Amino acid sequence: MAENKKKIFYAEDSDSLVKLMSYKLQNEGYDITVFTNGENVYESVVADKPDLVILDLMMPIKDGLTILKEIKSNPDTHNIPVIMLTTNAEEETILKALESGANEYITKPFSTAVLLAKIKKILG
Amino acid sequence: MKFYFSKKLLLICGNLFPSGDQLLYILTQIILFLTIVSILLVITVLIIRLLNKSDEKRKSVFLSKWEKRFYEYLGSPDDPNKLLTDVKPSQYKFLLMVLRDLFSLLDGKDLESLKRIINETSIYNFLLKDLKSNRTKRIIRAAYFFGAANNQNVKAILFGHLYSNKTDVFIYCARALARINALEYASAILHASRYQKELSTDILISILLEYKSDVCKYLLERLKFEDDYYKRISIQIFRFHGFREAADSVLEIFQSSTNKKLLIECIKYAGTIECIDAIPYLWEHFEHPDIEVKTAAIEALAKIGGTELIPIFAQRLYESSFEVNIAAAEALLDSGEKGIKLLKIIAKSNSDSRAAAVAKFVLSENFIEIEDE
Repeated sequence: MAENKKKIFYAEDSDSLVKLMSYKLQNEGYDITVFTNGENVYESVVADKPDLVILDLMMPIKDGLTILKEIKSNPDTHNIPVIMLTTNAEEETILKALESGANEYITKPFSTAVLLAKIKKILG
Repeated sequence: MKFYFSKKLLLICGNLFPSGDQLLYILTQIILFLTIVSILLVITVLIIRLLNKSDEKRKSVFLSKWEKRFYEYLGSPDDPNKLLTDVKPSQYKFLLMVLRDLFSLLDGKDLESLKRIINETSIYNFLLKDLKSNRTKRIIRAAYFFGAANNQNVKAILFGHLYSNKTDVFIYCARALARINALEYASAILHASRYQKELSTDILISILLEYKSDVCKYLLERLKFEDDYYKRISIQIFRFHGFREAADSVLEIFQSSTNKKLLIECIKYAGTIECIDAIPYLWEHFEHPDIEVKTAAIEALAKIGGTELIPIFAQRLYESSFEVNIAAAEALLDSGEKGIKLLKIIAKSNSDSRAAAVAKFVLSENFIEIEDE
């Protein structure tokens, strides 16, 4: 019987972090798709409807906040939970992400255990 | 006589300029030489590309085996030396590339695991050798890792590099000392920075801000024995940390100094910590002939506040200096509701005047509507 794995999209431009998180998330039993820039993330979300999207705020081609706004303004995708990764803990940046509909945020540098706990909390 | 000279000239020219055959020979030689040089260049490029490709291949083969072990180790209490079993020193550079990236991205137990790889394995000696070398790239790499891993054993070697004639070496070693929070070297960083011609003040400040806030106390203790440069940079650090304990010393400098840059730094500090005791001195500088000093005084007074200053700020909107006008408009903005109200009145009063234009500009920059009254 095919296992019904929860699908996570992870968009992040740091190659090392992408590899590390992919390994950790796969170990936890998630089906993970990675993007190393902002291109095609939104289109893939619309097409595949993942269970969770993790977006880095600063990414080449398209930034995380723009993708977040696109996801949250589309009635087909607005219910998909989004975790934002921010590089600075500035109140304004975090507020912008939360106002745009982010379900959670985490600031870099972060502990992978904390990110995993937040993912588990959202996905149940 | 004329004929004689023409003949002699012909003879000289004949010797200087080669004949047709000679010219052909020289050209052939030049073409041959250029062809050989081009072939050698192409071969060199090909060899470099091949070496890079082989290095990339070695890197990906190594990482594909090593990374899984590394990910399992991260955040665990395992011995980091197990990670290096079967790893040759020639492969350390590959794993250091991964570590370098992750040092700035990870925190908590993951970060502790990374630090242990640097401090408790043979990587330590590998990097120590680099730090003691005279090769810039190696020193920079080692300094980065020792700073990130908070290694207390290498402080003296890092200090030795502060007087390097290479600015990059200074920056990385000073930053490492600051990240280690080696307070005893904070003054040395400041002193050595004078000899770094390519170092900007912003970078120096960013280095010193890597120290924990207790660096302020250390800098303050030495403030009165030091020169204007030391004082100016130290006061900037006090300002960024909001270090109020330096207020008395800064006020003393504020009253006695004639150094413009230092004066501005004192004013900015007084504004940032909202130092009420500085108000009389700030008033004095309100009419300072230097626009930068005057602007700084207006901005500082605006931060300290008090609605009684509003009419005085408004007056400064009609001065001839644009910098002073902008500072005054922003000061009104910072003065709260009354200041904003006055700014709106000025903006609406006469659309052609300079004061109205500045008021409009500052209001619109801060997304405040003029017509909502």
